[in-house]
Amino acid sequence: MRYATAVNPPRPTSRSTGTGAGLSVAPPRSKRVLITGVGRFWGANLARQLERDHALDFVCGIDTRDPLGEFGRSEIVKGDIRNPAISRLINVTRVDTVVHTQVFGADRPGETSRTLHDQNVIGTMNLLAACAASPFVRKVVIRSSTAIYGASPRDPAFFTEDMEARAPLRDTYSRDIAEVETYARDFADRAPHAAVTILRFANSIGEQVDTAFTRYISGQVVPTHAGYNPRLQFIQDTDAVDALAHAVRSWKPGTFNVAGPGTITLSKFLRMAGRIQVPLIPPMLGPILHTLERAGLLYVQSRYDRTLKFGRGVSTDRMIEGLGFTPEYTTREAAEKFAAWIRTRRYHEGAESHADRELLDYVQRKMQQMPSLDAGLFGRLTPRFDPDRAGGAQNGDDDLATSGIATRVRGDAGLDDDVEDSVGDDLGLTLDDDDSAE
Amino acid sequence: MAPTTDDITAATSVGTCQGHTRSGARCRRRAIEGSMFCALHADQAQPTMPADIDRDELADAIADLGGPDDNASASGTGTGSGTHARSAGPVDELRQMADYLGENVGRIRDVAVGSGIVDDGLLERILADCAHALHGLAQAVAERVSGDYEEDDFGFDEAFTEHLLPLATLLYRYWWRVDIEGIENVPGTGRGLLVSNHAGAGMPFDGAMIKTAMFLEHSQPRHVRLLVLDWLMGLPWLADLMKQTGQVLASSPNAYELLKRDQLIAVFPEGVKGMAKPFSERYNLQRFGRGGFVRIALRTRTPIIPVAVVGSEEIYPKIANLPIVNRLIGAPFVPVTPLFPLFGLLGAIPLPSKWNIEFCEPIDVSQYPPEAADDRAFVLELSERVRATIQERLKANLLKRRTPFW
Repeated sequence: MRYATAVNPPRPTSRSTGTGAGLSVAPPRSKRVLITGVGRFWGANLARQLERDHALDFVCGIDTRDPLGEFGRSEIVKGDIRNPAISRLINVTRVDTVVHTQVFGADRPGETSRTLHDQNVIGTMNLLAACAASPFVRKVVIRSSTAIYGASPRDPAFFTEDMEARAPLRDTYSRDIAEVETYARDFADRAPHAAVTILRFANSIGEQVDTAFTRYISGQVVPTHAGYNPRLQFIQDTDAVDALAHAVRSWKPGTFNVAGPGTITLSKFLRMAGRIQVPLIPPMLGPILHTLERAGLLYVQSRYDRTLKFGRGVSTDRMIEGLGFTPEYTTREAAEKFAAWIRTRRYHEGAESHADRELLDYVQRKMQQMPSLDAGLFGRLTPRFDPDRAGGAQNGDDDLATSGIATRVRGDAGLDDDVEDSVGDDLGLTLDDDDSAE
Repeated sequence: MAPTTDDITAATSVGTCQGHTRSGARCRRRAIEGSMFCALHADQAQPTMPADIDRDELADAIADLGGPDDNASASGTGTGSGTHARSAGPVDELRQMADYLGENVGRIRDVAVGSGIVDDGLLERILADCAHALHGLAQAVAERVSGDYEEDDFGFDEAFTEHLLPLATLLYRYWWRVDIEGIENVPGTGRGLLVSNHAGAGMPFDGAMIKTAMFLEHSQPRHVRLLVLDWLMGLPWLADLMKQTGQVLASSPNAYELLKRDQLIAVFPEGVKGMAKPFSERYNLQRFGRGGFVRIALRTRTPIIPVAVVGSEEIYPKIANLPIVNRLIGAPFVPVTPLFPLFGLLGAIPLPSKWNIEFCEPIDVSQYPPEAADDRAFVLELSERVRATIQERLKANLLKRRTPFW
């Protein structure tokens, strides 16, 4: 059984992971990878990580958005996965592994859940159809979300992968996710030679990732539901990319939650980050968030409405034992790191020289060690969302209309970029902060 | 910018303003009577030192006093103020208040006894316990407001719970005067599953008293994690309070998760049926669900400790239901008691019945294989055995009680 569909409750004493069992020959190793969604954090950084891996022959990235940041030897294509010509791309490049990260919730001005629904669901359907038609594709990794579990007062403290949402999913994004997973299962049934790894990610937080959720919790004033203090779960942005890379490098068919172990309550996090929490009576938060969205002041979608009321925790046991992936940061540690960064962010943005950045890194580490430090001094500026810096979705649509499938954006760029990147890593710095932060 | 002493003496006689205009020039307006500045520049007035005071002598004198900083920390008494002495906000005030109350608990008792107001030990103890409760409450609020708290993966804040415990102790000692039997049957460490009868028309006071008993009476005080009805866990504020004090939603994944972490949990297999039963059905145990708790115990090899609670049936003697209201607010049921809703919120005060809680001999399930959990008949049989034990102990303890109220 490749899919763990056991409905029994989890057994604390012993539990079979149901992954990779019964494999008689060594699983094929990924050589050529196609990554969707390189216009956003996850796809782009996965491509950058994989192109440094010399065990891989070829890395190709595709997105309707402009690619995010600079790439080395990756072949970056601007195109739409809803176009049936994606099949030709897969066959021509003979990719054996497809990493599908292009399943997004609306979190930019100009994006609506309806336009994204089309991209998410139809795009996935088309991509998986192309994978099924290809004789080469041996592995498909899907970036799903823990939003599939919904949020309700009847939720267990920790959802395991076998559980389903306790209440009907209300918002478009969670329903998209559910549909995407249905297509993925369907593909797994029809292509038994291929391994399908579905990774259900908790909310990513970190310095580099920029979503409606990270903007919401790092706002200077954070409206919340009065009387509700949800338990939240995070995954550090770098861990999220590592999890995807891990799935590419290993052979682990199945569904896995990916989150930092443990949970943290919203008010505790806001305290650590020095944000001002404004509790609003339950029927008011929804409309207020909606109004702020409309006014362009805050891009937290109403899709977080129920999560911010009832919270959500997922079990990470199968991720650690079955997938064999342990994130560097627990939820608590990721939250502490992010909170420290929020507090010093305004100084990061102003930092020009290398020395400035080193100093700030030091300050940030100190603040992380002492989260009770008064936030009054540091956490006083909310960054404005800059639409110019974000890749707009509309451009991609135009491209689709004119070209067959793709416009080639970048080709090989030699080794220099690799060296530069690794130097940056060694220093523990993000050298082109502004560019990579979407 | 500040005028020198010479300037001031000169100007006082002349009577012009000593202030400077915004451009930096000397103001030429007349000073107000008895002042050295005009109305516009009154804010530029600085306290000046009379000429007959030697600055060095003054500095020495101040140094002898210890300086203003030391004074502040001397007044900030108690334990909690050390780290927060820097800024004085409402939270620090609250902390100070908490510490003040804490220090005075003993003194209140001494004064009450010494002055002869109280010669009976009871009132003295009540006073002391009230002061404890207030102390705890103030500390709990201070911690929450300052954000200086820790919580586990379920949202449980141990320190917060312990601060609120003195409040529950008041109910435990003086309102229901709870008697305890067999508390040593509960393991002091490791996992354990308490199974109790349930009553009390919606409010989980029986659970609260079991929690309090485990903390007050056990040789190794520990927190009991109650598994609570889903409707209660959806209520604003109340659900949060329950999560903070260690409760979780009643569902088997949660029970497994808690037992995996070697916690002591308590379940009420009667569920709503137990809470909603009318007065005529008092102390008659309802059906024990479908034996889910037995399956959990078998799979996790957790000892089952039956608990018989006497007294909880009389706190809200239920005579009828309000089906229309309960449909409106989505509650499982809304009870009518002789006092509620007739007397409004006052009618919602639980009656002060006399309680007895007996913790029975643990049932060791480790003698059965974990696979026994899949044997439905065996599970139901074991569940029935637990139910019979509780029913039998309830009857015996009811006979021992002289009247429902003392």
